[in-house]
Amino acid sequence: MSKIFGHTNRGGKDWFSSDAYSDKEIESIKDPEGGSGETLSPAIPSPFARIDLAKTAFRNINKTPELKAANSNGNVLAGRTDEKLVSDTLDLAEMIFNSDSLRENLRIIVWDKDAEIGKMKASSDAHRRLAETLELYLQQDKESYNFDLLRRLYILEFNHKIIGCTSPATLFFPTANDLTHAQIKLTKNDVLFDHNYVPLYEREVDFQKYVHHLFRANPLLASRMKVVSDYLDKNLAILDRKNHALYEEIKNLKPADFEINYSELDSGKAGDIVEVLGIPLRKRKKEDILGSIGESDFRINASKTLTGPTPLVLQNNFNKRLRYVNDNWDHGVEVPYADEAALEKRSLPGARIQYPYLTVSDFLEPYLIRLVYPINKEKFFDGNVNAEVGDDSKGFLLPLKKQFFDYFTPNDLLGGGPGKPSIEMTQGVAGSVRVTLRIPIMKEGESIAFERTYYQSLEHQITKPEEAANKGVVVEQQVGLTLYPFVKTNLPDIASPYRVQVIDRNVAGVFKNSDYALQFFNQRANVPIPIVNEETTGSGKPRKRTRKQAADATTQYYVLDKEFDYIYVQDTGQTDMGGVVIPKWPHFTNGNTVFTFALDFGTTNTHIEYKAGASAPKAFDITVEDMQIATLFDSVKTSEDFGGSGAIAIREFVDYEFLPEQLGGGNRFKFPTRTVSGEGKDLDLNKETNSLADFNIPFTYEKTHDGVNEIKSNLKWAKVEPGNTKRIRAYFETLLLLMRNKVLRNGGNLTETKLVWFYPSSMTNNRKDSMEGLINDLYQKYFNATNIPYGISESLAPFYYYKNTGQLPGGTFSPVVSIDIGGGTSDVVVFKSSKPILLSSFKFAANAIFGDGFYEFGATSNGLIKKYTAYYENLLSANKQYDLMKVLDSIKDKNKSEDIIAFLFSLEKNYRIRDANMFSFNAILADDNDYKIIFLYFYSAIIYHVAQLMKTKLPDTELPKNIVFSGTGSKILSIITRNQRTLSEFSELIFAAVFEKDFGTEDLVIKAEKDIPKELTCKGGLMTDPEDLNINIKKIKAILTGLKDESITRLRYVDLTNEVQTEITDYVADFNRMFLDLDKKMSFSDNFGVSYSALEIFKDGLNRHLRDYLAEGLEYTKKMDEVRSDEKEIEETLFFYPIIGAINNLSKQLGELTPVNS
Amino acid sequence: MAAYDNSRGSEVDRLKSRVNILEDSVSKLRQELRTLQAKVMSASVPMEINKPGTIEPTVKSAPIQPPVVNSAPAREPEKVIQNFYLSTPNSDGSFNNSSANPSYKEGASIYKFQNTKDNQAKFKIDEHEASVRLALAYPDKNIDPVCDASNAFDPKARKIYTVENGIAELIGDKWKVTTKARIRYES
Repeated sequence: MSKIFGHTNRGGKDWFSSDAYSDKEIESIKDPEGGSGETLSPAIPSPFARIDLAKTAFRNINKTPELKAANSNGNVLAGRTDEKLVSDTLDLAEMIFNSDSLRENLRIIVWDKDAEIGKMKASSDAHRRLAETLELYLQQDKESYNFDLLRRLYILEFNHKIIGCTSPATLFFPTANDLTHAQIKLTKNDVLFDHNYVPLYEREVDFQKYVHHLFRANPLLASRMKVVSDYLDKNLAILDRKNHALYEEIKNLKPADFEINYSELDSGKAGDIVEVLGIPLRKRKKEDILGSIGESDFRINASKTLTGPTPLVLQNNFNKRLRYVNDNWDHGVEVPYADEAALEKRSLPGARIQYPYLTVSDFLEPYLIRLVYPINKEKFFDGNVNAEVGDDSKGFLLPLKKQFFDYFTPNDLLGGGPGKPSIEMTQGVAGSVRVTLRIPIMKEGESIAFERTYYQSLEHQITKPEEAANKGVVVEQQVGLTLYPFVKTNLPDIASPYRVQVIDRNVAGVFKNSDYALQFFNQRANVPIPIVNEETTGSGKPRKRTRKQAADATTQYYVLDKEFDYIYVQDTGQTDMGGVVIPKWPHFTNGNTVFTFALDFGTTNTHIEYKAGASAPKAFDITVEDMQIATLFDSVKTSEDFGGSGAIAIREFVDYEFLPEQLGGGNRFKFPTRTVSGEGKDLDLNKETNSLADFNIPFTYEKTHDGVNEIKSNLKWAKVEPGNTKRIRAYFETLLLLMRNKVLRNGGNLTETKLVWFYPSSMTNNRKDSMEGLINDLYQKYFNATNIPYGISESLAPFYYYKNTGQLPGGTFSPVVSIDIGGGTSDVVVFKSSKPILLSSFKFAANAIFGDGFYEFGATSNGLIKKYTAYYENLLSANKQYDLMKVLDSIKDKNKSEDIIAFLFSLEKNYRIRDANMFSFNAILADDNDYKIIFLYFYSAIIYHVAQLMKTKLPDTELPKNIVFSGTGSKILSIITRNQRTLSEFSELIFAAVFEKDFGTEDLVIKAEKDIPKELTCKGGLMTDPEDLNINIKKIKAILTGLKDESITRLRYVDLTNEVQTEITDYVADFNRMFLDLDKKMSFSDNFGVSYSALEIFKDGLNRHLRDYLAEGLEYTKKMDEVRSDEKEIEETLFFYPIIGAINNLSKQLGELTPVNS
Repeated sequence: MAAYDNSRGSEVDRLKSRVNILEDSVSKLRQELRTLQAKVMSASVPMEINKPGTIEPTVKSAPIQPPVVNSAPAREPEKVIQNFYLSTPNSDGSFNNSSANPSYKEGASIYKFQNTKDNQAKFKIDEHEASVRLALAYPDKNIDPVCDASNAFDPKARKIYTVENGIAELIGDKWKVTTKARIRYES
């Protein structure tokens, strides 16, 4: 079979003449692959072959109707190779157009014709020959390829590989190399240099406009690059059909606008512009692409106002057709789970545009911190935990990064609903948790789901999370958090005092070195609120109050003076990790109810009563409805053993060092409470301190042993020194905060709140003024009140309780004596016609019997202590009250009798004690016939003094008709006798002895409230208008000197000569004589059960050392009151000083008389 | 077109039938699960089983598996020995079975339990220093509900010697203490 070679159709069977192929011949050559081949023949003998190929490809493609590979009547109009070349050329042009997005990967290398050829010529022979060859071709083909206008070529390098070059014939031409390494996306889903060849009219609109505009503005290009110009014309014609609007837009492009619409393109050096045929190429303006992204559906629908470009929110496997940049989202685009680049430096995935976008790791933490208890869902947002597997016994800190709150507020998460973010946590197998955070985007109703699965960490080491692979790690930490108060007013004009307790109970395992730091943020600004009590400036952390080394947990207290909406809890101990806590603040309304509080700051106990509006006074309480603290753990759902973690410190330390959830009613803790302050064992009082941080009111005192609090008692009469001043301030601040939050939690009117407080009449002016100043300051600070607190003598109020509860039979016309026996002081007021007419106060109260006399630490020698401590230790042990034994132990360590005795008295009301009678110290003392004489003597001394007072100071007044008692010390009455009538008769005898006349038919009535003696003062204060009680007591205050010369009503220390002191002790001896005479009139033994042997000892020792006791008393008082000048007036009677000494001494002897168990 | 519709219709029918079968299976499995859970609740062997003579388990991180009920009739009854640890008891004198840990956990474990027979275990205060420390830190919570002391409480005790093991019975999900442990504080 013969073969005809050539395509001129002139050949036969032999040699024939032939000419060079014209276009006609070339076109007539049949492509054996029918145009489907994609590789080009390399046999083109020119260094500029690719320029020609590109030009030819344009020429061929222009023949096709759709500018794609096509055949016509069996002839290939344009093959796939043409389509590819044109497409690749356009890809190059598009890359250059978007060069700002490719800055890191794209490099433009300048090849200056004259300079480079010149250099080659000056180089080796080989280079010279190459230069000459190039020159030859440049000269020879100058008309075909516009080499005459060629000055420079710009070689394009992508990822360090050449991908193409500018062309004087077709703007660009690609290399024949494999370009798969440059298969990237720009702003649309089209992948450059792939096998999907895209004609210009299908490309991104901005790019299309640019190319058309380039040729429109530069006619030289159209004349010199005819194939390209034709290509553009054909594109335009197709656009006319397919996208007429764009067609019109392009048609209307004005040449003059070209420079305005696009930015200058340089080679990388400023001013070194990239040109083809002398025409500068340009590139997309940055603002244009930003404007384009500004329409993206993926923009975050933030609730906060953002500055700068709005980031897009992207997720993998998103398959909705939403607008991304210039095209719909391609679900094949891979979004990194973590992008280390700063937000503004990021490039959009699949788009090669530098623009901020957010991905999973921007909002979700690498670690998920699981807690050992369920979160209190009523008070904190729990993250919508769904227990698909496992249970809901353990909650989680929200694994949200702070950055989330740059865009959204905590309320967005709490409120939920359309257009708001939401979070969901689903527990899976083997402790894994899947967290889904939905972020709303601008497309209405749409959101992006950031989802991350957290896997359980290894037990003995912390597993490292893999953020890039979206694998988080679940770790379990034993940390508790409690807020105080659980109130947020949003009122800028009132103070916002907050305390946050952090309990770190990671005592073992991988987190034993945990170190928590909390940051607080409000809804508006996502910057931390400064904390008030930073340990060191800038540290952002307060000092630790208790440490794991010494206890079962470490505690810290954050003090803030601004409201906050979320907390970022960070553990910087072993591995940096954190989570978010969002309180669900209760709805607050500023109501109108006026609250009135009465505060009785006693030596032993402190009490608060309150009334809301016109309601009856009641003891201060915190109920389930108005809880003031919010513990992160759910106190109801958390198991007693904290899931077997041993972390019960998380619950216990709330009571120990902070504040109980509830107070009063049937709760373990209530008012009246012991007047003691708790503080950390290593508190440095030289540093700034805060209430409910460095100090607290330990309601647990005497009830449970905490082992962490350093307890300070005797606050009321404590020596004036900086430490005590701080303690007392903190004590009052806590009390006022309790009141304030009571008002706020119950819709009260803060500024209209009223406060009545009490002070003993015997308090020195200086001490009283100091207390008043403190209360007024705190009141003003926390209540912003329109009125000031009423400071009232505590002796006045109880009378009004008895009066207003109808307990004064026969009215109040006759004198009524009100005696308030506290721990440290007793106040006596004589009322007539409901008005106080005489007042006296003295430091002779319960502690005269139960205290250490004139010694600061005398518990080791106190008779009652010696007699009863061992007894109670055995009793507690026998009843397995180990914790109370620990309490007693710790109190004993302080060696203060009154504290030990107060504990013994408190036992019968302790919630742990079931048989109150067995533990009742009151009942035991009532049966102690050896000690009975002491109580009787104590009582007699007071009644005697009252009688003497009345006789001396109110000579015209008749005998009293009623004596009413109040104060904790009045419990002594029930120790003396349970028969009130007996006590009345006995009291009448004393009055009769002093007044030297009988009561006649009118019986003296003794009244005492055995169960609420302490509460009477507050109740009385609230039962009458406080203004009525605001009496200047100085006018009715009297002191009985005990001197025969009744004209001497005041004594100074300097006046206490030997004679004066002797006269005072004689006066006491007179009383003693009178007292012992009473036994003859009303047998102590028969009526009160006083033992004979005790009476003998008593009689024998009663009058001994009276002079010494007086001196001791004076010395002690001077020391306690810091009297520095003997010119100072003595503010109380000296009658009781020798009696205190005698009681203390006799008590020791009586204690040894009969062993307690016999 | 009609042919296409028919084919789609039959596919839907097939899938519906498959869904029904699967729902039935799920229902049966749920029923089985409930039965097993009921057995678990009343099971005599709540923890993993170690045969007599085996060394007690060291630290394991695996969570406690549901009790294994071995009801093979032919098998000779054997004395079951299991050790597990519990923390704070409930104030009513019981322990939560769900809190049991097959291995000692510092800072959490206080009591060491040993199964003696069905539903019954003896227990004592674990001797690790951390266990004693934790017990003493909150004696009212950690000791009182399940122990009686034979000497006076000593907050500074270094050891708590269990004179006589306590006995607990598994009732539902709680180990109810029927006999308190007798302990002695030792310094």
